[in-house]
Amino acid sequence: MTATRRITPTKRSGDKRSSSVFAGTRTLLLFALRRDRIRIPVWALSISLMSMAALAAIDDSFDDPESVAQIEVTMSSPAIVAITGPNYAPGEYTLGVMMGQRMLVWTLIAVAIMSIMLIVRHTRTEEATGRAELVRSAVVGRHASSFAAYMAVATANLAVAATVTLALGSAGADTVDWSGSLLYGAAHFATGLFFASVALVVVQISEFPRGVIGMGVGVVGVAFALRSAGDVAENGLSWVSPLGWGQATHVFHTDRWWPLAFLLIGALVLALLAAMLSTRRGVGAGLRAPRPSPATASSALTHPFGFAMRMQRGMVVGWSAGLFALGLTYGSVLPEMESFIEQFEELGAVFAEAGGATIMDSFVATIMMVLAVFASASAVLSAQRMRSEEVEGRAEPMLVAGLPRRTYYGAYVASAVLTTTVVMLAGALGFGLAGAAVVDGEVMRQTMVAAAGFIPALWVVSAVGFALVGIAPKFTAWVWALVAYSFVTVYLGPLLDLPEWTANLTPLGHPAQYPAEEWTWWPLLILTALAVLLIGIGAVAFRRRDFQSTI
Amino acid sequence: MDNPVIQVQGLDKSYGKVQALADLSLTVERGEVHGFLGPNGAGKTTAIRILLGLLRGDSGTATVLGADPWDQAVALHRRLAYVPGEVELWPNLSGGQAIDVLGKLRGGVDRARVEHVAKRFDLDLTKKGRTYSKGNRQKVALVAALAADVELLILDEPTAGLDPLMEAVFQSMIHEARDEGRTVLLSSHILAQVEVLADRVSIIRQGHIVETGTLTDLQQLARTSITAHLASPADDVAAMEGVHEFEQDEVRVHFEVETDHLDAVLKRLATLHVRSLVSRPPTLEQLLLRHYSDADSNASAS
Repeated sequence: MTATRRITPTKRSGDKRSSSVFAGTRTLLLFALRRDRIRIPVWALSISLMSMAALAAIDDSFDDPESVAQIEVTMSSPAIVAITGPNYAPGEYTLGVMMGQRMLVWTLIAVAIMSIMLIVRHTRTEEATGRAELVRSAVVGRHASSFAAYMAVATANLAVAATVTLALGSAGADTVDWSGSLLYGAAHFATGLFFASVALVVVQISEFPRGVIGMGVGVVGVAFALRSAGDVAENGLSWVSPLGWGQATHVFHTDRWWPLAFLLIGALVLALLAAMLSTRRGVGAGLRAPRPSPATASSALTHPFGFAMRMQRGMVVGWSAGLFALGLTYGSVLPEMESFIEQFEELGAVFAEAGGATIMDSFVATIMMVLAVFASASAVLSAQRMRSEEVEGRAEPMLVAGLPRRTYYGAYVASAVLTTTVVMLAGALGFGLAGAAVVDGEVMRQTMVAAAGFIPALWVVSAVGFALVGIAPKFTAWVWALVAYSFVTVYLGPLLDLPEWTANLTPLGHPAQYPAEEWTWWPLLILTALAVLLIGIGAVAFRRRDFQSTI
Repeated sequence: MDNPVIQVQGLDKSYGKVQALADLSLTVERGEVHGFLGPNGAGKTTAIRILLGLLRGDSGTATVLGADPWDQAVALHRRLAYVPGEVELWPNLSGGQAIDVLGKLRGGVDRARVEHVAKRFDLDLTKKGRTYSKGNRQKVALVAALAADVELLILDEPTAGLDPLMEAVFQSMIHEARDEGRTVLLSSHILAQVEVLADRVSIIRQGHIVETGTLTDLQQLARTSITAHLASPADDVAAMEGVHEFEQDEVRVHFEVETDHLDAVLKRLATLHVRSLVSRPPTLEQLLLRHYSDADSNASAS
């Protein structure tokens, strides 16, 4: 049988040893970019449009020197410094500086979150779904998947940097020149790359995409808290915050490029660490070995509500701890706030008359609103969890075991009511405790009352999610649009000069801004009634529709 | 008393333009193991999900244990147990915890029975959901269902991930369930399994039941295959009614014969000095293949 074809080993594996662990990267990169061909432009456009809108909104205020001086005083208040960043150009405040102080950190956070989500999407999610196994069984090097994901995310960050640079540079504002715009864009690129590396490291640790995103966003939160506390206390703490490095460029003022080196070196070191860690685990596995669980369920777990809470345990603990820490950070800067008021007592009086409240009260009210916006992100998670249990096929056996749909729905609604309450109170508690420690106990009472005002508003955010699960389940994720909208209107609204009605479209715009405003009950009642109505509509629709599952 | 456990009449269900079920009718009697046989995508799972009240049919009626599965889903679910083809477990919970949760929802768990069944399936109840293999996830669902005190078991390709040893355990458990008077609807595309277990079989193709009956009924529709060594030439056998796929290799003949004509053909063979004869009983496989090849030829014609 001379015709038998002999299978000879090809030389391909041997002669390119250095690149073999990256074999297939190009194909995987192109594939990742194809999968993200909508996602990346949407991120880039959203971020550059936000920057452009902010620039256009504040441009008008910089016409006469007097108003500039007044803006600078406002922007130097510890409240503003704590929320967004320091005034790095005292006495030379310009439109560009205001962009760098007031707006930059938000879009840096946006690229950080984008990078984390994209890295997880292309690495851990692929492994958790088993698709990675299929890919890795092909001619694909050990590091090819990670490297391709990283390059795809780098491309996304480059897109963001380029569009932001173009958006600002082409606006033609006086102090917003092209070289500064380039640095402004580059800060996004470097920050995005750094958090892509962070994500690549945490991806190695846990097997769950959800958990990995939680850890990554947690790092962003820590970075934010560090620069927040550091900027107010001026103690150098901001220099250990990756978000602080982007702000340290003093963009549109001295235009320093060198702080970006910290980000790029950090990105490189973390990426190498991730590569090293990845060789110590199998595909689909995490570094943490799973431990056995009890063979029997506790009585709490066999109750539908207990079960729903158990599914969200990590989320509740994480968000509560995060908001508590953020509250503590803000509470601890209250003494700086007081000394600031003393310093500008005359101006303080002007502010007090304008709002009918003291600066201190306004600060407390503003921070409570900030905490409420963060809490609103946790408010949508229960409905999302319920939906993913359905889609991923885990809810089905429970319903078929005799769990009525309304009980299943009700258990998650109850978990959302409890979760939002706990998360909001945790933030208020952190803020109040720190405030009580450094100022006086009155702060504690104020934060608790203000939190009580926001809780029903958070219920409405949750209820929108549950209504969507019932009526338009495929669009459940759209509830995030409400969170984003709340953030833009409530948080950036004053900065962007948005008309007041825009804030009224979000539930968070309705509670009294206690203690800056008089406390009122009626928004609470109306919001609670609205939440009940939405949940009721969702419940009826949920009972009537087909149960869905993708498996 | 002896109303059918499952009675489906003229059921239609479509997803947008895709017609999943078309005028599906199905009857499952009390105490029988009913095989629900069909290729992937024939509509087995859609039909089962309607029987479970997870989906609502567009038209037609479905009755399970005398009740409407959509309106009385919860009451019904206490009396039945279900094993899906793809079992998804909670990654953070052990198999034992998942079984407890499902059992408590149904009204109570007989732990001794759970452990007994788990032992027979050689299942470790303490491992977390994410660490189970596909076969072990399926075992978790099987243990939960077989340990439950229910009248009706609805099993949707329940052994796709099991090894042959576990397949045997599964078969003996199903026999026991039937001996205890339970009714089983067993959806499968594994013909051997259905042949071993089912009292009656319904074959579904493109959302419609194309054949239904006892195994014997269906075997009537299939063909027996015959291989024989003969002393005399057997050319005329090829022309006999009901004979198909006739092949002759000197003294050896091979052909398939329809059950109705078996008697006549054997009588003819007997006159041809049979030296040896091997007969293989009709399998559902042949029957199924015939239905599929019909579909294939239709598809290629269009």
